[in-house]
This record gives sequence, C-alpha cells and structure tokens, in this order.
Amino acid sequence: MQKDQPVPDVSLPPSFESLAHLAGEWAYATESARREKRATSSMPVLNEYYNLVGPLVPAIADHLDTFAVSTPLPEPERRLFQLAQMYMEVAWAVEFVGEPEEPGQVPRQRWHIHDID
Amino acid sequence: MPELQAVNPLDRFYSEDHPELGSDPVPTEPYVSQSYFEQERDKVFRQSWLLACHESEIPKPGDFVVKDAAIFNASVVIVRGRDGMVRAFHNVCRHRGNKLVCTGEAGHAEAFFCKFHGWTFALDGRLRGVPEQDRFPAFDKSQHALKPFSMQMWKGFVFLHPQANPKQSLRDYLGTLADPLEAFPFEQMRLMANYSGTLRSNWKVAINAFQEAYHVPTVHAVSARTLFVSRLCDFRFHGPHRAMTLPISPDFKPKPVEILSSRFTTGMSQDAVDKSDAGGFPGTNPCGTANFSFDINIVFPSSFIDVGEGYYFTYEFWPVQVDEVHFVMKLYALPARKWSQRIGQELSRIFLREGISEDLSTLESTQEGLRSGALPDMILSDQEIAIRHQYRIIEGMLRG
Repeated sequence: MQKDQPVPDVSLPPSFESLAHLAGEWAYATESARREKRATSSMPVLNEYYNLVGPLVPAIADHLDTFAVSTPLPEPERRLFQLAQMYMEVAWAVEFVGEPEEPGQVPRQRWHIHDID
Repeated sequence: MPELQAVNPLDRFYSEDHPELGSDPVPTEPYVSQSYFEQERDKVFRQSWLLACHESEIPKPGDFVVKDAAIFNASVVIVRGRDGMVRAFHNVCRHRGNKLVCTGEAGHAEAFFCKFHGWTFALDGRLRGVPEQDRFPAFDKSQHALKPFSMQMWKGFVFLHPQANPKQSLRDYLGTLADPLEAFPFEQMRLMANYSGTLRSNWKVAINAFQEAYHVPTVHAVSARTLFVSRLCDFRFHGPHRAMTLPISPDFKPKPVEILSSRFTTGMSQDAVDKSDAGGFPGTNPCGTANFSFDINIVFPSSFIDVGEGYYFTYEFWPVQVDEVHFVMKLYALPARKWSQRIGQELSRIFLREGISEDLSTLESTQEGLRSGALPDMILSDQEIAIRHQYRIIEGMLRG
C-alpha cells in the first residue's frame, strides 16, 4: 500500500469511535494526499466532515497531548491525528474559499508538494 | 521651532528617502528580452551567491539534494559526507559526463553510482570503483574525483557560486543584510513544507510578486484580506539586497479555524519561544514595527529568507529561460513540543501553501501581457520601491 492511501484499519481511540466511519476515507499520511482529497471532494461532503470533526478537535488535541511528540503514536491515535490534520485542510475550503479549490490558481498538478510528514 | 512628528511607518513615502532610485517608469524590456536575459546570466547570476538549501535538510551522512541550475547549465549535488561535512559537486560522472543523480531533488545514498558504466564515487567525491579498471592504461583514480562546485555556508544555509574562485566570500556578499539575522535561531528549526514547480514567467516577474504588499487586497482576497495591510514598511537596502517588514493589520478578523489553531500555537511560533525583553523574537523586526508579522529578506538576485516569530520560509527562483522560472519554496519552524502544536502548525502550512498559490497565480498572465509589447514601461507606486531598487541594481551591473 502506498503511503498516501488511506489505512485499512479504521479503529480510533475509544472516546472517538463516533468518527470511526470517517477514518477509512479521510485519514491520510501526507500533505499532498490531504490536499488532493480536499480538491476532489464536493462542498456538501467537505461541509459534512467539517461539521462532524470540528467540534471534537479540542478534545482530539487534549487526547493526543497525553502522548509524547518525540515518539510515534499508536495506530488509532495516528489516525486520529491525521483526521485533525484533514480538518484543517477542509476548514480552508469551508471557511476561506467556499469551494474545494480557489478559482484562478495555478493548477495544483503544475507544482509539486514534497511531503514532509 | 515646530515639533517633529513621528511618522507611522505605513504612511511614510520611502521614495523620499531614496531619490537615487528615481521616480520614472521602469522599462519592461528586461522582462522579455532574450539579450537582456543573457546579460543577466553573465553579469548578474555568474557573479552571485545563490541559496540552494539549508543543511538541516541533509542531517545524516549520505543525505543529498540536487539543484539543477539551468542558468549556469549546471546540475549540482550537495551531500553530507561520513565526516559530517557538507560538500557540493558537479552532478557529472568523471568518465563520460553522465549525470550521476537523475531522480528527484533529494535523497540518501551510500555512494554515487553512475548508471552508464558503473563508476562509483564516495560521499566526499573520491572515485572509489571503476569496472575493468585495468583497461584504462596508467589510470590514477585519485585524479578523477567528482569536480567540486563552489559552495559556502552561513547560518547553515548552503549557497552556490558558479565561479570556481568567487571574488567575494559569502558573508562579505551578504553584507549588512545578514547582520540582524545572525541572532535568528535557524539551527533550531526543521523543514515543515517544501514546494516546487516551473512557471512560464521571467524570474523578475516572480520576484516582484513577493516584494510588495500592494496586491494583498486583490490577490489575497481569499486568504489574507483582513490579516495583512496592503503596505510593507521599513524598507531597508543593503547594497544589492533588500529587506522590509510586513505588519499584521490591526483590523484582522480571524476565522473560526484560526481561533481554534491559536489555542495550539501562536502562528507558527511555539510556547517555548524565547522572546527577549527588548521585544520580539531574536533576529526579527529590526525596526520594532508594531503588529509585526514577518521580515522579507531578499538575497540578491533571487533568494528570499523571510523570518517570523518561531518560523522562517525561503524562496528560490531559478531562471530557466527568459520566460521560464523554477521556484522552490520551503517552510521551517521550531519543532512542535506537543501533538496539539502539530495540529496548529498544519493550518500554518496550509495557509502558506495557499497564499503562495495566490501569489503565483498572476505570474504567467503578467508575462503574457509584458510579452505583448503593449507596455514599453511600467509605473510603480512608492510601495513598489523594492522593484525599482532591483531594476537599478541590475542595470548598474549590466552597464557598469
């Protein structure tokens, strides 16, 4: 499996199981994959994700802060972190642009994201 | 005697401080002329140090980056050796000239292996292996190491120079531009984002889009309409280099996600940031501008090192042809100390990426307009004084 594909195991930490149905489709390991997911999703779908995940981001942050940042997260927490990263990507479309991509930009295919994750 | 009034730096007319830069329109020929471009290559780029990377990007022995510098017809591999030293070599096998490293712009190698005939070079450039070496009469491997490319470092930044023996050291070249930046803790920061691409515009069209803020209300209407004012301030000219400061607007109205993110990080800075009592993050905001956001530092001719509180970002613009430029943009920040900070940093990364995308959006259409010949010159506002400075510096090098 390539690193920019969603992970097959979709379990999340017990307190966040309400988001488990999102993990298979929205938990991406790389910036380029998250950006592509945002750009190729419809606004109703992005809005739904935004409304579901947004209220839980502070609790996600609190939970993840119980783990040391210097060591890899357990798999469920890693997926939770990626959902929070994806929330930031989605929020850009929802709050700033109102569309999956800002019109009039250089097409995303013409410049390259060298993933740092 | 009338009392002197302090002038808000945003209200100042910087042209009044620099009459030597003139006020006439500047010609558009430098953006479209092939002969002008060739003069720039010989008299500007062949005389200049160019930013290539920061050594933190190649932390381990064998880590390397490749810079293809079309302006010099050169490809350069920058690599950390087993002794920890960073070196730069022509990316050219000493046998028949094949490129050694062809794939990607960065990676890791135990040695460099030429895919043509299998010559192998150590990380310090020494020729290590030659298949069927006995077929080369009187062959001395020590005479066929990789050819070094001129390289010097300052604060961990790796700069390249196309001449084998540059007339000026890198630090002398940077001059007073570097003085306030000496205090900035570049060495504590880590690469967070890295973007590159090639666009059909002159390299100066690209530079110009990043050295004024007049365009903020239009180009950045989506990303930063309320975040930044449409003016830069405290323009500082250091020989061929330039610096200026971008303040945050006092009328900034953050979006909900920005408020959320600010619970985790302050912009890209961390709660571990050591701010001095004198105010501000070390190495930033030398003029003490209120509502500081970041300093733009342009290392002539085509590199940027922009510094904020706890982060910095670099732009490299590598001319390819008169109407083609390759860009590399990187964001560095203090490492997160908590996972919540990493969530906050994600928004900063997206914000920078999308802001850059907006900046790049006008380059090709501007180049098309200039190429049409409709405008023999362009009129510049006081806020576009950095463009005028750039023009005067290049003209001086070409004519002088």
